[in-house]
Amino acid sequence: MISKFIHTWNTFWFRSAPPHSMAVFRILFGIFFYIYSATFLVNVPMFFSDQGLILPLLVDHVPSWLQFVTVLPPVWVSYVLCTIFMLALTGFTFGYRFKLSTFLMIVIAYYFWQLSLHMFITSYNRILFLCLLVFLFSGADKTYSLWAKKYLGSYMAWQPICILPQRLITVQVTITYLGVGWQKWILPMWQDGKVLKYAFQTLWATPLGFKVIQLGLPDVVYDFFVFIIKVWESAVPFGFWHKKTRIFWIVTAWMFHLGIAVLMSIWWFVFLFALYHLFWEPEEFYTYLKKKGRAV
Amino acid sequence: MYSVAMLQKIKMAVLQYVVIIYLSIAGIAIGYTMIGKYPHPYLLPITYIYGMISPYKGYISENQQLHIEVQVDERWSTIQLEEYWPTLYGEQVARGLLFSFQSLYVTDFPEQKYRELAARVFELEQKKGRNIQYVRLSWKYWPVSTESIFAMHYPPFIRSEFLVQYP
Repeated sequence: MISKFIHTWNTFWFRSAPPHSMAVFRILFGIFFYIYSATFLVNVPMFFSDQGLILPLLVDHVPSWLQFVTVLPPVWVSYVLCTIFMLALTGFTFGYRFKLSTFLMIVIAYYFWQLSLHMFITSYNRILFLCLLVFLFSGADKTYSLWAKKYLGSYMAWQPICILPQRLITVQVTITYLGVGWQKWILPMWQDGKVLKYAFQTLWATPLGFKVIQLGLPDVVYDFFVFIIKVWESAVPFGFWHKKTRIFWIVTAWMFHLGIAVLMSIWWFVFLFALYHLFWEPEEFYTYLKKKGRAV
Repeated sequence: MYSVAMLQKIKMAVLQYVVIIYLSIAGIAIGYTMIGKYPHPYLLPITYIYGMISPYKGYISENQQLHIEVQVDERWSTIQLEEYWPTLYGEQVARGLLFSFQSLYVTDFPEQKYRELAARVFELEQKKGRNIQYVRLSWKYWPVSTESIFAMHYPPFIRSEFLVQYP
């Protein structure tokens, strides 16, 4: 019994597996990061330099020898760092000097976060950062990469990797949906439809959100949708792991996050689209790609 | 010298600890969400995972915006927030609330940080060659409308709440 549990545990967390799932995640994650970075690159001086209205987070919390990281840099330094970040992102996405690229992304992203981005404190930035940390030890460059071309002779050649990074990300996504869904059942603001009704006409409302409000739908409609959201968010973490209905849950997740993006301009969570395929076992994903002629 | 097999065993043991520690921290973070409490900021790994399972809490029944005014030659004028925070309106509000300092300093109103924010405005405006005497920060509130966010953003609907003045 115990040895069976240990075997199952080790197989689930630590077995060797094809790298294709993580490689596809790496590429899609990189594409998302190009788009996300672009929103800052258009205003580097305001976001990351001594010309911006920003307050470093750690200024009272780091030893004196580390205080230099909390000093607002001149504009040219910010541009240099952004350039290094974009080069590292390119290395990351194309799988070239992957560990070094990922490491540079982590260091610069954290520096910019504690300098400025923390002022808009969000859950997605934390998940993105966790993903970067996991990528560092993932071997996600072991196929579909310049590394594979250089060392294995073909972009599609591959080497097996440990499944642990893939598991950590999928488990964290599961925990995120589960925790968010759970809290909505108990938070006072989520006990009726008002939270949704106000969401379409305050803080994050888009023109489309206002169009919905202008329909003048009765409160019971918003109550109903809040109830559906709570049921869905409580069920979806289990649905992702259920092989037979997984596609249904993933499609509903796309609809959910796209709905939030167009009605509330909270678009950043679309990065999750880049990782839903990680819920399939890497061997299954590899077999699928091989059948399609996308893997060898 | 360690053999390859020995190194493999050590690596495996480390990875087992990584998984067990991660699951334990995640479990504690979920526990905090279940009791509706925010973990102390110094419990960094727990607050980090707790922050990843935070639902939308932007529930407001009034619109609001941080209002920055500067005094030059005894006359007050308003600084357009877009000038310094070229972001979506929702992000401007979030930045103005200084949420990260609220949690780090365990207070709803990190007054010192608002002073530092006002001092930054003072310094930045001085650099532009403006002879600033004072900077004043306040919150402006106005009613929600079904037309647009700023549809009711005019007197007498605007309500003001003073935050800080610098110097």
